[in-house]
Amino acid sequence: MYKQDKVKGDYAALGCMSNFSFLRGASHPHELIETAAAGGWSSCGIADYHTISGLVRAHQSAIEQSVKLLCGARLIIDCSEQIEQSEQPIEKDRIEVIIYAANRAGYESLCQLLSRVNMALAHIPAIKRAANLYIHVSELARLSQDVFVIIEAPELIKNHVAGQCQQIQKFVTAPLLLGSAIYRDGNDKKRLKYVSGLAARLGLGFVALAAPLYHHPSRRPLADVLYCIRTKQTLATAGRGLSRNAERHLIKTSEYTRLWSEYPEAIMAASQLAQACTFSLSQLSYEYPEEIVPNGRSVMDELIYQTWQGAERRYPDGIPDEVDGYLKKELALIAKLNYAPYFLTVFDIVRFARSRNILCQGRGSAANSAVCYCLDITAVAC
Amino acid sequence: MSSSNSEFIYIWFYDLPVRLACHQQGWQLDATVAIYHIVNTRHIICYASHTAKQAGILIDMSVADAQAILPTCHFRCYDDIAVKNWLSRVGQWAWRYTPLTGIDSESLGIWMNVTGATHLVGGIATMCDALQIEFNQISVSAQIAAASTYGAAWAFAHFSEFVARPSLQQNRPVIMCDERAILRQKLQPLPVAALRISADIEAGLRQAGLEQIYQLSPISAISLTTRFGSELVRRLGQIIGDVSELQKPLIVPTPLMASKNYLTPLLGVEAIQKMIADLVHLICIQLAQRHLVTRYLVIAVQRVDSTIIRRTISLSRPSRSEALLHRLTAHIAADIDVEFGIEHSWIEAKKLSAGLPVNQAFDSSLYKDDSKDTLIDYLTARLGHNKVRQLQPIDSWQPESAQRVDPAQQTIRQLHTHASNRLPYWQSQDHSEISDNINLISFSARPLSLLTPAVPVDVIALLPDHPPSMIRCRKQNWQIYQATGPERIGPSWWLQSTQTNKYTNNSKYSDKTRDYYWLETQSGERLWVYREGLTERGESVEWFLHGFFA
Repeated sequence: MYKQDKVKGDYAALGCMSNFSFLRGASHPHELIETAAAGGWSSCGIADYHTISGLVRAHQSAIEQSVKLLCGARLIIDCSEQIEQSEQPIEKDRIEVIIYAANRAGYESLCQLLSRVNMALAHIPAIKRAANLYIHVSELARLSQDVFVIIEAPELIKNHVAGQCQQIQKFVTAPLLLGSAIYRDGNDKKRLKYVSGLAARLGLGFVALAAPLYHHPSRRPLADVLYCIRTKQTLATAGRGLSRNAERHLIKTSEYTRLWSEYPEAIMAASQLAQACTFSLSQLSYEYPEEIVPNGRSVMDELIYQTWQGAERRYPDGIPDEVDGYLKKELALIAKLNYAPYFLTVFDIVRFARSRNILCQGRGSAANSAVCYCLDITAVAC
Repeated sequence: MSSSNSEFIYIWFYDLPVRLACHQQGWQLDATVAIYHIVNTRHIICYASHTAKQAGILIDMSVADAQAILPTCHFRCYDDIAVKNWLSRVGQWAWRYTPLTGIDSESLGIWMNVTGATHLVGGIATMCDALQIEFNQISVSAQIAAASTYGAAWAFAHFSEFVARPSLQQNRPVIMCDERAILRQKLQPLPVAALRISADIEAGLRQAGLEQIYQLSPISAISLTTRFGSELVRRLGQIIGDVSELQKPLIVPTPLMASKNYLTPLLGVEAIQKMIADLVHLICIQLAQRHLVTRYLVIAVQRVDSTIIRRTISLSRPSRSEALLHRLTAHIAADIDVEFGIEHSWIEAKKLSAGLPVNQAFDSSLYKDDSKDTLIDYLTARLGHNKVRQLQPIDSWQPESAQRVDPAQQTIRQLHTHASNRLPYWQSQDHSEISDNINLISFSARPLSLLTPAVPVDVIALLPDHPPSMIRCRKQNWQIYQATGPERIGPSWWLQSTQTNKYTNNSKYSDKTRDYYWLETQSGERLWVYREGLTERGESVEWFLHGFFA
């Protein structure tokens, strides 16, 4: 059962949409992250429509704000029976899912799915894509098991929602949850009761979604204007397509727990999901190809060995103290920046060129270094 | 009609859109005005006054660029309807010269086929001069051209500067009603655009270096057709008169009316009732003969003292049913003060539309909801257009602006013209598979009666958003038995500034967010109350009763 202290300070804002959800989201990713940090959220799950491009900015901000960023995307799913994609699925067949990558494999699988979807629809102009992008439910079968898939219950629920969930259940192998946001439309209690019941009936986890479209209530006008642009209407004619209130902002965790007080297990599910997502964009830094090193030495050891060998060649009368100092300092820096493989690669190239009498000259920002001089990459002593 | 002795006059009103805009807005005639049209969401200038052109505004420039060049310039959207209306009025005015006139709204002109009518005013030259004087008097710029074909008249009017004339006066009529050989000669120096060809053909000709009509004459029709399509050759034939061309003339509207004269003045309500019934009978026969239905009837009587009294009847949906019209006109007789009697009366049907005879017995379901419309017509005829009103839904979150009270006939008419809007919005989202689309969570209910303005109430409720447990309104106390909500409705932010400026007197517009609750009292009333102001944003809180459910 729910324990207050167990979730305290460990809240996950799932289903956030940034302005990378073209013509839907009304806040920058960093604004969402900053608001999340100020509002007491420990994790923030950005999931934009059919893209992960907002994650880079969110990631930078998340590091500054020490908020955990969950990497995900939001997809509109066409649950119709036939595989051939029709021009636009009828309203009955549409449902939205949010996918979060649990680890790197999951992230790869999500990216592959997004690439497939976006390339298949590349011929549609961006503005039309914003309104109509959707994928057939069978595509979800391509996802690996290293993701979390959350079905978002729509604001207006008709009884075919259950069928849609079952349809998705058929294709998804990864952990599948059913989530709902709070819309403040007077039916929240009714909706949460229905959705939690449906989740129990289908054997899905029930999860609390924050699903904000903007970070602060003052962005409601912008969200309304974006809706008008997307649907080619004016504020005067859009009617109830516009938002009824400014509640689609990122609320504080105190408000969140109050609104979800009847469903503590949904809050728990959200924070457990956040904990299970270990993937971070930091894991995606550039990896230098492995350098072949003789004698079982490490790459750095090999560089140190070659450098001192070269130094003895360059200075047959003994290494001057000044050069000795430079070399030690530079080697320490190379070790810190993990550049040793690159130096060795250039060293190999130069050695090969010299063996064939090919004229070569080292250049670049490291050209005046003592290490390069000792490795014969450059001919100018510093 | 052989083209050799035909005579056409074409009048080109080259600055008409600018003139109309100045006239509508009350600007000076030398004001800097630019008229734009919208091409794929871009605003492109299509006409500009000569002062604007002098200031550097060019045709086909975007409005943004023009605003940068001349910020004081007036910009108006091209008003197609106004131009068409003006041209058709001028076209009808021109019936004084010839019965065959027509409008050409695309190139801002009217045409007159004056064949056989010129001798009445003393020849074509005199007629053109007379027209010119008429337009000068009302200070409308017009370029008049007369020629023996429609195409040539059009060409000379639009490209009068290419015509060699004895006196190089601007705006003088060009008259070229000559033999075909001479006409052909006169057309030679005109640019190819004078052929009324589409823009892409013109561009194609330009690419080929063919800019004037004489350059086309050595080329055979076959090679022109192969290269540029049949339109070019057809236009070449039309401008010379080798190919006949039909223009749609303005049609003289014939009023649909019936009248009766009386040798001895009519007196007494019964006689007048009989008279109206006769008139209605006559007009219904005419309507049935022409397969027309009407939405508007004018009944007029002329008294012995020559005073004319008119009464009108309007219908919510077009009809020619005699029984219906009898009912709607029944009250008129008592309404007319005949004094010394009526000597002449007539009836006229307006707002006509095509109505094929229908067999009522064949599909009576189509006429099921006639009864309500008929009742509304009947009440409107008795009480007046604005007296019978009906609520109409409006798509809005704001409860106050989610409905409008419109004249009932207008509402019905809208429902009939837009068949898809026939149902109110809460029913309109119907789907084919009804059994599969039961709404589990839909839009929240709205009360049947709404209080305007909302009544302030005293409430006992927990903050921040718990429903009230007790309400006191005026002197009544209600214990709340059951409550649902809240539905949070924010203000229509885009109305805030204008609304507070314009309507400060009649409605206090609130820009606070409201939380609506559905309450059921111990005694069974079902109330709709709201709390204005959000405590979490530090706003003061007030409670109001806004409506009742049945």
